[in-house]
Amino acid sequence: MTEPTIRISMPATAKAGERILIKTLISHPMETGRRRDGEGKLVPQDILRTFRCSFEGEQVVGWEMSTGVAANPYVEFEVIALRSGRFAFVWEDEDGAVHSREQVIEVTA
Amino acid sequence: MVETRRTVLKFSASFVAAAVAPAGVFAKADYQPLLDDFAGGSETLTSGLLLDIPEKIEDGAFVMVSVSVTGGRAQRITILAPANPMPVVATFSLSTIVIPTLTTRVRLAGNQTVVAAARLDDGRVVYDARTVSVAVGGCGG
Repeated sequence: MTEPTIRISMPATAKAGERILIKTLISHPMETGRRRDGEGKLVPQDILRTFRCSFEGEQVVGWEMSTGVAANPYVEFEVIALRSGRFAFVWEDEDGAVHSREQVIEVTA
Repeated sequence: MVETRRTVLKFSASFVAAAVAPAGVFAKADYQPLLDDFAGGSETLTSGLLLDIPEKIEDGAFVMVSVSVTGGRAQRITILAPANPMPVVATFSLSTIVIPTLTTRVRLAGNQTVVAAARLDDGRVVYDARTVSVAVGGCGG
């Protein structure tokens, strides 16, 4: 399997207490296990199970997924920026594969 | 002539009522057990959460859904689609620095009443239910 493409959209800087919008997208087929290929065979289920966004090691958003999550899982949410630090974004496939990205934010008073 | 027309109108009105009313009843019956599972015995309220989803959906494979909690800080948010093969579509847990509003994309198998629910800090559960029609189901099979 090829490495998925990950896109993160969030500001690089913010003022302390400011609301920042974070958008994440990962390329993944989220195969339901009920779709048939061109030859009529069922395509095996292959989905991401969890997403986790953490800031400096503490979980901010957790996401438990099912086959009802659309292909190329997308989520956007708002977080209050309190201090500078590193956001980590981690997706885990049901086969155990882990995909991750990090992004730093600089927060000024 | 007038009488006949009235009779027809009366008949069609009752026919429409018969077709629509049970659908509403079934919708609640469909999602209530899922909502109860999420609530775990807590009180459930229909105010304090807004589920934003198109009423008419052409492609069930990509449905943009927004959930906004207005009733307080939310610890967990879930999206339930009773007619889907896996009805608990997605569940989010939120830390104290997250504004309890999020947008994501889901699949819907067909016409159904979609529910978003949230557990607030004070333990209450708020939810919103929206009945949608789906032209082409998005769950495969």
